[in-house]
Amino acid sequence: MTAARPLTTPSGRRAPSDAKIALRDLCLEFPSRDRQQPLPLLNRITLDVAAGEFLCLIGPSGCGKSTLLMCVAGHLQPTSGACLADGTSVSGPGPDRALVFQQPTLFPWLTVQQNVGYGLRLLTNRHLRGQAELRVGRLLQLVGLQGFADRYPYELSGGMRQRVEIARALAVEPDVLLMDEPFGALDALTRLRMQNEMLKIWTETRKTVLFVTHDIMEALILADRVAVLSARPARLIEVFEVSNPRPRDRGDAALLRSAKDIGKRLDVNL
Amino acid sequence: MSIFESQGALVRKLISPLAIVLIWEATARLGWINVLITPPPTHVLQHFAEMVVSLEIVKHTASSLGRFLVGYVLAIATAVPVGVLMAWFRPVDMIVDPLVELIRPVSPIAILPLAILWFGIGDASKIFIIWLSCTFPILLSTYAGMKGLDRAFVYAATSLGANNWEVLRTVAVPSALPQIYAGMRISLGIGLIVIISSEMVAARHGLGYMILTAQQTFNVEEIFVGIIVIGLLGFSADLALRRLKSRFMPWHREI
Repeated sequence: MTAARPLTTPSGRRAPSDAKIALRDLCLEFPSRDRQQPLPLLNRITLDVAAGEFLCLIGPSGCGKSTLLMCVAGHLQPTSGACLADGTSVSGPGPDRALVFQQPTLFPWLTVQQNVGYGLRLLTNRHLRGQAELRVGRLLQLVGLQGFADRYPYELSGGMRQRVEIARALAVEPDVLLMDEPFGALDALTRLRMQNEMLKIWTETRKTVLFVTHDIMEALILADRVAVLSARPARLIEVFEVSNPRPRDRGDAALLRSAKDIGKRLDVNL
Repeated sequence: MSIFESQGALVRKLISPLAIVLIWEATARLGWINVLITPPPTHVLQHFAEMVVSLEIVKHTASSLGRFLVGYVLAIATAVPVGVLMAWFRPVDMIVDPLVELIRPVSPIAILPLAILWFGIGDASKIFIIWLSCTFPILLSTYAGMKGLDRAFVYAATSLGANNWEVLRTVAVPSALPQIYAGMRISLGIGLIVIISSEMVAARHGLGYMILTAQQTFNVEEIFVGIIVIGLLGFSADLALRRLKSRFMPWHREI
């Protein structure tokens, strides 16, 4: 038996009622400078992400995975089709869909504590201020950085910066975490450690996670479902469901077979 | 960062200036150079001591420094906001940029005669010229710093709930601070050049006036005293600026 099996329909569509994020025939084109025709990046993507689900997007590099994520985040507007969050069309960025980037975008002029509290300070100007400090402390504890509250980003290692990045996104209590290859720039060992860390955080917070990666094993260790995208313009090829209970063993035979299957869909031999 | 990293480094840095002073002193004493136009360092030092005792040098330094500081602070206070607004709002850019490009290439000293007509021979005309010459480097570097804003920071901030005004205030301006500081350092050097030259054109006190008067009365020691004080002034001003930077921008590391 394989750990991950393809769902019957390649669309990945679920009942609309429990969909936190719903993509309907999502198309996105960039106007190209030299050519007459616009450059298509996303080709009719239909996909549902349930509330509390951990979904990994995987595909060849440059296929448009990040573009898809930026659409959901509200930083890019689709050319046609719809991108719905909680049933309403996404019209712009907002703290209900927090982003975590591959390149750390921590503000270098703020300390770890101030970075994590950044979104909260924007909120607390209008609402509650007193809880912010407590929340930041709890989040730093969650990502294991209690002792680093007053450090500046340049004083941290790559893995630590990525943890702060995650804490900063969690601070605004988003419904959805959008993660764009968050561990892509880390060394192999740190990446494994961060994957375990991510599972711990997800188990504690139960956020809906949309996680872009090009690492098949990473996707299989983390995700409830793995959506496989084609080369540009990105099309949804197949959605695999990973049924193994967590924590998953990276050497598990079924998981390795699933990795092979996904590799085949991406024209890679594992 | 600091020039006083260690005692050893300080000693090594003093070797070449001390060597020159020694050679200068020796050649003057041996009569190899004309002491009437190049007095030995000991004579200069003696004259310096006399001027300190008589408070003469303190008076001139204070008036030069005062004019400079007022003009410089005014320049920062105008250039930073204008640069920020130019970079953030296109219409402001379109209105202000042609003016900047027209006035910037003109030497401030060329404007000094006009400034004297407008503001008189006192402090105001010099402050105006300092302000004018210090404004442009800070303005341009503020503009460049704001324009160089990394899109990723904007994405991060707006995804955390920041609106346009909050992005400007909490992301764009702080991210431009290192560039603004660089412009302030350039202006510091320019301002010190301009204050001395403007005092040579028309003034009743100040280091520029002191040096020019010393030349006209053939008081060569006093010329050298003036040069040394100007050098010390520039050095201390830059040191003070760097201290302020490490105080207010501890996150920024200079290479």
